[in-house]
Amino acid sequence: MEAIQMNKVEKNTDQVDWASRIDGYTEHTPFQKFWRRSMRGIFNLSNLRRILSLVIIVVLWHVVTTLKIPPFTRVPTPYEVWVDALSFIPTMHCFMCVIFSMGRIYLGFTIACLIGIPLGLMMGWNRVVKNFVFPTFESLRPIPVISWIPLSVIMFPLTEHSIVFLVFLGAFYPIVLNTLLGVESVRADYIQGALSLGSKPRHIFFDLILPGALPSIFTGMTVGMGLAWVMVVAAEMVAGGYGLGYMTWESYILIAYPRIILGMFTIGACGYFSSAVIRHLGNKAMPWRSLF
Amino acid sequence: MAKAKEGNVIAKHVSLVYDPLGVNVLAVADCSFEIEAGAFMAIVGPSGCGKTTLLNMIAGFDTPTEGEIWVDGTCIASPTIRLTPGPDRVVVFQHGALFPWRTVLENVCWGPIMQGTMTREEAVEKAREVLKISGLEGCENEYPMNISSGMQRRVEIVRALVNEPKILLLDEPFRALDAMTKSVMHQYLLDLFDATGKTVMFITHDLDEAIYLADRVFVMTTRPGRLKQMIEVDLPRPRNMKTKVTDRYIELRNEALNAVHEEARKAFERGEREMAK
Repeated sequence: MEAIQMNKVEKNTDQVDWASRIDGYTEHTPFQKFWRRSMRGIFNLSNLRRILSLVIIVVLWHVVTTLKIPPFTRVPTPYEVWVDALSFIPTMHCFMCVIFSMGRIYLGFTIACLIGIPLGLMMGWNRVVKNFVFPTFESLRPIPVISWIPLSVIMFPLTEHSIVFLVFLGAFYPIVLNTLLGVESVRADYIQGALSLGSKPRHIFFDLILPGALPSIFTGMTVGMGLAWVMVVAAEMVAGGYGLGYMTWESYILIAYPRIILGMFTIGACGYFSSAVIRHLGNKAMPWRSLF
Repeated sequence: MAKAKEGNVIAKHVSLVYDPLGVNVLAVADCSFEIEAGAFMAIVGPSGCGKTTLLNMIAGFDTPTEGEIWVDGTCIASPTIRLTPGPDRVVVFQHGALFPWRTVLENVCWGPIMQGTMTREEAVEKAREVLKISGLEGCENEYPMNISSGMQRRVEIVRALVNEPKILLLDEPFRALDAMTKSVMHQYLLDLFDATGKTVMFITHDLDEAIYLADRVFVMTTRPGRLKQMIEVDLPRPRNMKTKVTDRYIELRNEALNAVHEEARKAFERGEREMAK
């Protein structure tokens, strides 16, 4: 078996430190090197442009609202929003709104994952299940989820339940569809290879189909999370109760315009945060993918 | 390492008819051959001639519509016996089928652990040993995406070998490699073959590769794939790069070239005719 020993490439260990041969070269300490590198990572031209684009949009907003150019005549200026934010964000009311919306998202989204992912996996795995479920699924999917609002208010006695149901519905479709797509995208070579290594169906399901579908599942979850936020805001505006969507709508009724903008920003921030959580979970679950 | 030889494969008048869209396509017609235990056979033919179908039948992905396949004195596949894939006949695919979500070590261990033939510790130990003698030490914990394509191929062959298969079925495994890596891999495969004495069935469309590696080259006709010519390669083993410049090698190569070229031209012309219809 020694014959198989391959000629390994010897690593070139005696590297020449070319830099030290240059006149006037001074050795930096590791900390200095680290510091320089990280500063270069933060203050470079690309980041400068990125910050500039944000600054420009705020300036534009300020100009447009102070000059009262239609349709921005009644839109609050950035300064008004800033002042309102300072007085509103530390209050209990703001905190409760975020907690309520987050709670509804969390519940509805979790239920959507718990039902949607297994359903998608089963549809991709078993043709009988797909034959039974897919036609129903595809005929319900084109109905915009927002149009479910009246029906869900009738269906559930408590508003809380109907909001969670709507969130569930919003997240459910993309999760199922992407999971199904993920299962079907697993390469036939992997399955044939696994069969030829002597695997049984359960090994193929848990060791091939599931990890193979994971990238798609997480894509579905990200898209589903976006729709979950759409649904929670819409449902809260209609059905009421606490929550960010309700707060935003209430501010309109109370003619507290800066708070509308504040509500929008808070919703955006919460949505971004939830997507970041999913992205983080995805990176943890799929260490073989360097980028996700 | 060389044990009592097993892995004798006999194909008797094997045919396979595909039936996509109700149109019968004869993919492989009346192929008969024998691979002696511990022999290296290469199958060469123009693309689309049914090389892979032939291999799939031995692997158990396809069932022959006519004829029989015998391994070690038992009939394992015929129109009435449906063969299932198994670890005694492991396939290495042309595009590579290492699982990207498992590290090199996990990939190699997967077969024995899943079959329950080894405990996890035994499998890891064995895998490390085989990886080490294959010059793959140090990349056990890498994911397949992070190692070179040549290394991936080597890992894949190692993954097949830890299952102690009787027959190694290689389906154009070096197709996607560059010329340099390919020649290194040829040497690796030859050394491996000499050391383990497994029966190897090697599919390729590269004549040089076939003659350099194999004991016997089976040249197939265009579709439907039949036996065109069987070339006995009597080059001495162990072989190395110098084998490729011997007179005998060039002689064999010429012989094979004529056979294959004729078929390739037929396939090409027929392809044009099919287009014109």
